[in-house]
Amino acid sequence: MRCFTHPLLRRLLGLSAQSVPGGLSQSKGPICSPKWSSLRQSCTARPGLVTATDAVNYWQKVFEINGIPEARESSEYIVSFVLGAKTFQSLNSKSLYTPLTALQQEQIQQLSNKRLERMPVQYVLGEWDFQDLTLKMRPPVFIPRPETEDLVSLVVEEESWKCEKNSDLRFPVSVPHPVILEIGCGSGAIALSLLCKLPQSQVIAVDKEKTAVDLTRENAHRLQLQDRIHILHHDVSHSSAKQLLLWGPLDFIVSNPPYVFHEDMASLDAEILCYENLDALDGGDDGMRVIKTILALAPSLLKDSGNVLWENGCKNVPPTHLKIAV
Amino acid sequence: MKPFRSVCLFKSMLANCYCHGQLHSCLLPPVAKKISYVVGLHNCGFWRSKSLLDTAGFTLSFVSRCRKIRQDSQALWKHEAVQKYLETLSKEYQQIRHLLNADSINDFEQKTLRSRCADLSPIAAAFQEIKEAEREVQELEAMCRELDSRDEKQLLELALEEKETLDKKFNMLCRKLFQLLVPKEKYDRSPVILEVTAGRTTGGDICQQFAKEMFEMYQNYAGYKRWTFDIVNYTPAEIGGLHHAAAHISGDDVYRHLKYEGGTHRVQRIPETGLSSRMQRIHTGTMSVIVLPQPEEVDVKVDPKDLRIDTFRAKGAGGQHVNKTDSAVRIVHLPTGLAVECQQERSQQLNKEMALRTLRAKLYQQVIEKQLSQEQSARKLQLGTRAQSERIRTYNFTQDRVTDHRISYEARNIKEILCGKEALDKLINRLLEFAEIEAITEYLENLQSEYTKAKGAISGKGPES
Repeated sequence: MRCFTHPLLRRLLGLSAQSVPGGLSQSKGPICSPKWSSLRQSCTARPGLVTATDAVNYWQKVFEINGIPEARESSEYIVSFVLGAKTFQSLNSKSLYTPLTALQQEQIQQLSNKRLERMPVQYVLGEWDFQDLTLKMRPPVFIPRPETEDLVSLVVEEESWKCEKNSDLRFPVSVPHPVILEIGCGSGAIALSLLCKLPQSQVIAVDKEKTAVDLTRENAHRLQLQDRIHILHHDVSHSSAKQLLLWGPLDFIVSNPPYVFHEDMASLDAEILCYENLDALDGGDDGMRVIKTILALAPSLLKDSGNVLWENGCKNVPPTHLKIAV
Repeated sequence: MKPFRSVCLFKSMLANCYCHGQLHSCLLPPVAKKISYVVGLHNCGFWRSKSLLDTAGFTLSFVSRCRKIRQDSQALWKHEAVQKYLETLSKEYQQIRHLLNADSINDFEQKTLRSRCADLSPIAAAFQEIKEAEREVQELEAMCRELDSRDEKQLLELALEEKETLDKKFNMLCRKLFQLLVPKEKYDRSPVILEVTAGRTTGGDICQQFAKEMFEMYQNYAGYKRWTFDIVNYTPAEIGGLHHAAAHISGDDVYRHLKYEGGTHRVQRIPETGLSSRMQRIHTGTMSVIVLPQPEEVDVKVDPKDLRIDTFRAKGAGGQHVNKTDSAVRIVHLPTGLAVECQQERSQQLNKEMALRTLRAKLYQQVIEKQLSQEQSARKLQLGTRAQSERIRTYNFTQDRVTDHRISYEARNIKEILCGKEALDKLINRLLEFAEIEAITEYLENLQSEYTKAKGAISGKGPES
């Protein structure tokens, strides 16, 4: 596991000397926010009372002053979260103008301080959504990207097409229970989404990081999917693939393997470099370090009708999703 | 004829009318008095009551409407063009039956013929029934004339009663024929979205209270008609009452019943007690209702090529290289320029799905509204779309009176109507009947002009005026 911990570079980025993510920094922190008391005075609505809208506007300014990207979005998500909603737009007009309690203001302050450390919003809130699932997030486990939602849709489409083709056959082979292997499950986003969208499926999810395995297990339990998923702490580059066949040959291998070119790593945002596991991103010189291993393994793991589906991408171009029949 | 009998006959004639149901009792006495006075002068027979009304020249709109209703439903039957048309259909029906029985045609032809047969059979049957009923009525009329000339009072009474029943049957058959012939309104059977919005006032909450009462009235009406009423939106006003609300209503023929509710409704009432007499002037408020059909089978096809989808991703990098939380989606439908945004969810895919759904709904509404506004041409009873919001009805609490301005109809007992049960149903049925008359008239006019053209073409002359 690697995080961008070189103290010199961290200071250059304006962060505290602490390298452990999640720590609150007090001393050499960013430009401190004006106190809440002055915020109360500046409120236009009613003196002495802070509404959700006031809080969002205030923290947006603070984030902007401190050079935090997505200042508006970050403050909206934090305030909504404290009010129990997912997004600011989903709050009804009543909540927007109700004064916040002292506790709520305290919670907003704590979360915003984390954001001031360039912690990604998903880690600040400790959760994020992937399709229609809400998953727990914890550094340094890789945060699922929105494009990967399309990878899941692609697998589901492929499976339903297989079913159709199957039912057209004179002697249909019963494929009611697809077995799927996910390599590099991270928080479990892909694996658990597939289990939800394909109710008859079973998934083997592997990751070489213990933190990822634990987080996937936690999310599986929260979603009551633990009976259909088998989560293994396993490194496909170094361990034997035999244990991956515990449910027989596979219908699908799915992965979002690291694909950032090694030379592009340094130009990534501080949010990524300081908090996410860089091994989940660095794809080596050609960005294909891990996928090559997967494709080499695939023939011995897949059924004849099986497919590998994965995500790939380069800098400045939206990622694509690829499929191979082996 | 004695005045009393003519009053009874008049009553029975009106009861016999196309518009089923009883007259409001408050309307009858002045009418009856007038009738008895005039009858006393003229001594006419029952079958000339129509001319009686003509000569008396009543301007009481309800009575004249009644007469027109009876005229029109029978007018449809008696109209030359319709007679010819029905005879053609009847002949076609016989031919098809013959062909199908002969069994000398291939499968495909059989299928088309069978479906045409199914379409025509109720019309042919109705045609026979009406001819039969008309003959019976004519026979009975002749009998009545004879009995009257022979002054056989008791037998005459019996005969007249029999005629009454027959006339009712005849009217019902005419109405049935109308329902078969005149093309159905496209969306009559659809569920609807009903929106209510309080009007604006200079002060007070009269509009908002009224909007709330009306929304509840429609909710009760939906219950009375055994429809489902799903509230999609309910926004109370800060000062109390309802600012705007919307509901999805589904069941049998929902749109058919509710389509004429669209428009501006006006309320007149004196506010609650506790004010000095100087303050107790009549307050006026308005609220508007919009009813839009939502047929389930219509699926607005949206070609992905017509859409421009904007997300933060569009600006270059994405995937593992970037961790952005901005999940807002904006979709623009290029042909119409309609734009929809969604930021309700944290998942971009969910936002996109929601935006697409909203876009389809909006496109669909555009299509429907366009169709509706094109259809309703010269009719008095317009469908209240967003484009036009005429004042259609006034609810006067001080005088306990509801007036529908389009058909000049007055009803009493506002409280009953606001309960949304029988009283409202009666009002709505009046509107439906009026609409049917307009539909018949339009249909007849079209048929007549086609018929005249055809005749002119055959005889070589131009169409006669």
